[in-house]
Amino acid sequence: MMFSSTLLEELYGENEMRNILLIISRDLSKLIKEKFFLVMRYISTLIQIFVYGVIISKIITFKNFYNYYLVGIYVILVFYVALNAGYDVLDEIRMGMLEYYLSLPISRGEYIVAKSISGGVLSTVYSIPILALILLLSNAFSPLKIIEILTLTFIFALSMSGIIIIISLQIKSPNISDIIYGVLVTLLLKLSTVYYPTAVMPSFYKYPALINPVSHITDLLRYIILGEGSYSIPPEIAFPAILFLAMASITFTTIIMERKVEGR
Amino acid sequence: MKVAVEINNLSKYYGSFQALKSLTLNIYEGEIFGLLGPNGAGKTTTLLILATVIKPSSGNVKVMGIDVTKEPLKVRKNIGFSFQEPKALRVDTVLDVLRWHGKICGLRGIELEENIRRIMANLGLAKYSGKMFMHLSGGLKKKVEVAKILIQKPKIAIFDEPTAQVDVIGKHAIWNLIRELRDEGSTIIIATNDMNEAEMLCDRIAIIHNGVIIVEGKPEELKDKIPSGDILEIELERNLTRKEIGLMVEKIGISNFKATGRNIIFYINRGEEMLPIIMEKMNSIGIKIKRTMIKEPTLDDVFFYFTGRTLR
Repeated sequence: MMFSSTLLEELYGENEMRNILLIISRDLSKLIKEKFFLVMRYISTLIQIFVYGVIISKIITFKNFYNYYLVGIYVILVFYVALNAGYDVLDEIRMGMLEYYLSLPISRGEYIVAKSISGGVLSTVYSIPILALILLLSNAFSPLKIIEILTLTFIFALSMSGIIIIISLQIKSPNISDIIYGVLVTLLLKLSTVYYPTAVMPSFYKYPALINPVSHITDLLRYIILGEGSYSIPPEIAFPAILFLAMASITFTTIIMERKVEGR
Repeated sequence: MKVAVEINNLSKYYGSFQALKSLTLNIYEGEIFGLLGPNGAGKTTTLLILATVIKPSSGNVKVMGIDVTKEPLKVRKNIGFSFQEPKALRVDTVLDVLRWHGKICGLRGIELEENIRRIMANLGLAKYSGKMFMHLSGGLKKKVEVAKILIQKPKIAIFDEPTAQVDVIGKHAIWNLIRELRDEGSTIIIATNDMNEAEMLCDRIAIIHNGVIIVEGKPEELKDKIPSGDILEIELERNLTRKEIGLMVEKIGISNFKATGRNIIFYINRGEEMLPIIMEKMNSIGIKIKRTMIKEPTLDDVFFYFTGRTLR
């Protein structure tokens, strides 16, 4: 992972790093215990790859569309797991767990960094089998590509978890957060290059897609997996954009948590 | 004695609702201090501010000399908070919950495992160690919540309604472990609406009502605040009119009483001698008595004396 324990130790010190790792390991063990979620998400992704993907690639005659579509499916999986990890904070607010965390000998910043990193780690770990499958199906399996993709997956997932955490902490009302969460998911996925390149999009659709972080990560991964000509947003733009989003997300969540959050 | 918690003019608003009104209070090191009051009195709000979970609207709060708003993390390193509603992830087992709490509070290795083993055995939780938290009964969940803090052994241990939903045997086990924790050097703060718990467990008590501390002191001192030695409770056959109450005061000559519905409580000396005299005088003005009782004051009587409400 990009945030190795040594890097965390440099940033936070030994005790703080231990706390962050404890929160991450707890979230990981929670994900493993929630077998139903795990299995259903894998089944849904496999159906998209082997049923929907095969059908749609016969309908759409765009060159090499199946491989193009596979990368999109991978991003959707990562996106949902990351959002789910961020949404966990909202769930914890609902269950009263936030009050518990706020009473523990950890800083608000540590908690939020841990939850965001959890989102990144969970999504990355969770997506490995599907990534391996997609690389095999695309004939693009290579250890270097796996490392590059997993690193980018981690950064992107961390950002998405952070954004959902910001919404959860700012809104606090679970019902309103649910609505915003639903709208955000729809907009980010539909107005993106996950399914189609911008070349075939109408202009009102194209411009939001070009500034959408989901498009950035999808096209960056397409560049790595499928090579030149497979993306709408060039990697020189997509990569800094993804990095900027991750830093902004962590910074904002930490500021909000430190300044505003009370348990109730 | 050294002050462990110092609260000065503490107020807390939730929107326009004022939950705490200029609260001032000192809690001393090594004591078991009880906040006694009905639901909604402001007990939990006070404790959550001490634990830095919520921020005060105004006033100063220091825990072990550390300001809760200026250095909240330092404060949290000195406290442990057992919540009114047990807090744990649904999918965690009892052992997962306790072990994780111990670790995040800095315990590790043999010390942590030994603390967990001892507390689980004392609270009857050992046989549930592998059971998922979400499958436990309300009483067992509460025991797990309390066990977290007993394992942690913080300098300031805060328990919000520690024995709510717990059976009698469990209550006594929790009280004993809380006393042990105090004896080992922790300062204990308890919020409760159970006067029996407050009386059995607490060295000092503050009665809180509508966000205001009404009275504080040792349980016996609080009872002594009720003037006269005895409490005479009289249940009448019907409610009295204002005119009848005036007539009763004039005839009996006791002005220290409270009347609610068909019940009248007199605060008097020599209750047993006075009872027949009061009964005769009430009969003479046509007030029919259904039942009488003389008793020594309880904390509920103290609460009733100061607020006109009962804790029951």
